[in-house]
Amino acid sequence: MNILIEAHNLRKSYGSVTAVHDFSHRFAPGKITAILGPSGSGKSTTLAMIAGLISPDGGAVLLNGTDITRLPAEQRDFGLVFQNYSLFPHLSVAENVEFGLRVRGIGRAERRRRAMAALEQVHIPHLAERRILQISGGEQQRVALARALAFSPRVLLLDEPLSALDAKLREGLRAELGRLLNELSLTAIYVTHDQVEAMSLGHELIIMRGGRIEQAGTPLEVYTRPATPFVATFLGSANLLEGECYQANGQSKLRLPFVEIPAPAGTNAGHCRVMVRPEDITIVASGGGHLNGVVTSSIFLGNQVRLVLDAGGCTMVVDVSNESIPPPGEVLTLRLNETKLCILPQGA
Amino acid sequence: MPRNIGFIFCLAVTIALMAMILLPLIVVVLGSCINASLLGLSTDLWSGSRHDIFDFSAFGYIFENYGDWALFSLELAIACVAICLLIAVPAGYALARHPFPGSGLVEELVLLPLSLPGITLSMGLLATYGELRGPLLVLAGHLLYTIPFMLKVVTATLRSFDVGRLETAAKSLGASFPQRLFLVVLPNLRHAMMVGSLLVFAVSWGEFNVSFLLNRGRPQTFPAVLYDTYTNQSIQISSAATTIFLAIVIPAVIAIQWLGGRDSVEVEQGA
Repeated sequence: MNILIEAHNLRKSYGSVTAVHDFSHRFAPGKITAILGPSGSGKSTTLAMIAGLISPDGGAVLLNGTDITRLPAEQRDFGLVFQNYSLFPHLSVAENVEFGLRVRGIGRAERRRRAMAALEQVHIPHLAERRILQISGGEQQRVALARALAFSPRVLLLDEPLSALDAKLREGLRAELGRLLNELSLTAIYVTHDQVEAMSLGHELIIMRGGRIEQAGTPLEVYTRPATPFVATFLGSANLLEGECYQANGQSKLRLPFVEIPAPAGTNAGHCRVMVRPEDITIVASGGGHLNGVVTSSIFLGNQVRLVLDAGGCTMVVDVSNESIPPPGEVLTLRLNETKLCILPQGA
Repeated sequence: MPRNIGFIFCLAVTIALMAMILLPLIVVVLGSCINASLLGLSTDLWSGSRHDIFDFSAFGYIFENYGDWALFSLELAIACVAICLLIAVPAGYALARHPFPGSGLVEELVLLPLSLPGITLSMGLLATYGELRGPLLVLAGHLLYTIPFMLKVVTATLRSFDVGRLETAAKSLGASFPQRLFLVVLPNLRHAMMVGSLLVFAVSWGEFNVSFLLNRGRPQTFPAVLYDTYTNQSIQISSAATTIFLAIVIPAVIAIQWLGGRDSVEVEQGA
């Protein structure tokens, strides 16, 4: 059941503040699209417009090519999972899950059967008769997911569904959610401010900032080829260096503050910004590197160590293995992985 | 132990206060059914043996002479409950869910009658709707006093569990407005409506000033029985009237306390 959702120039303002500027995207059918951005970036407003909970000031939402912009939320058949669960406190777990079927006039026996099947999918059939106030936060979120899935929605929309949970629980539920959504092959839109969640769950990633799309693509594309400095630094850590591309002796060269290297193919001449990820820099024996840096601080992250170095006035962040932690003041020779350098598009 | 002294002191103050509140009630209840002649008081009702301790004839007298007054009061209180449910619940929902510029002022204005003396309110109603003087105007006066209670309980409850959030969830699950109302909003307002109804009933049952001033002729409301018996009848008859009055209002007040307690526990757990 591959449902195609498209957004065309969706726009929403609150007074003089524009929350979303001309949001256009074709959401991959049967896939999970993660919308990622800091708070206030317009991601939840965009989701609410797609869900029909907020009416846009302009633009359109298309479902399999049909304009549904003015269709009320209750007629869209979209499943929604909220950050705060929004479960009905006066109903039991099973009655909550049955709600979408009940309002569609499905008989008691059939809706109980389907509710139990949905509760099986989220591994909590044993909680069916409990009251909502008697179950934990993680269990409540499972109920919310079962409730949104029980009536076989055309599209599943999730608004920061895990952010109210603690880190350990979030990690477990994230993996389970990913497995379930992939099994169901539902077209899903997943709004989050958590980079790991977005990259691990999303087949596609949309990065938003200030109400606009900064970049859209697969997580790997967006991570390795960020379109803007914001995307580079928002999605993981990044060293951003000022560079200059030029032609010399028929060869394209890239001049960085501390070294000159062959420019990656397709680089235009002129000033540019270069991104290099901390994990794409290695410590090498002196003489074999691109630059020297003095360790100014180090952060132990468990599986690795993040070093901050001063390389001739330029701050560099480098991730190294946790085997030995260089003390502050030590001079290290660093080598950039030239194949992983990313020249950010000009004007970005 | 200073802590024990503090506890004993608090207990003593509580017992003293309870005694202060309960003693007059106990005296009234006993006064309604103790053989007055044994206390050396005169009684014109007594039909039993002079040596019996209990004498319930005053109750019979009240039912016989003021039964229609009690009935009128009960009808009035029940009408108030019904009208408040029909008016104040939707109004409270509208104010809590869709506030508009000035809606806070509207909420405050609805509370205004509670701070006005009954005579002021009655004179205002008589000056404006004098030709309606009688049961209808009494009902209007009671509504001015009771709607604020229902409205306040409903708006406070709706705000405490963020009904908008639940309605959005119901909407996303395909519920139409009537379905959201009957399957989500009203079930979550059940307690509030019960507490509000009992409050309205108790306030209406006990209202005297407005009823007395706005009514024309008989029957009057039940608190007027108290006025009538205390001013014109023996202490036993007026005590019997008071006992009947309390027998209706005290269970309502206890139920309000009980339901109110349950309500706050559920809201706390839900938060």
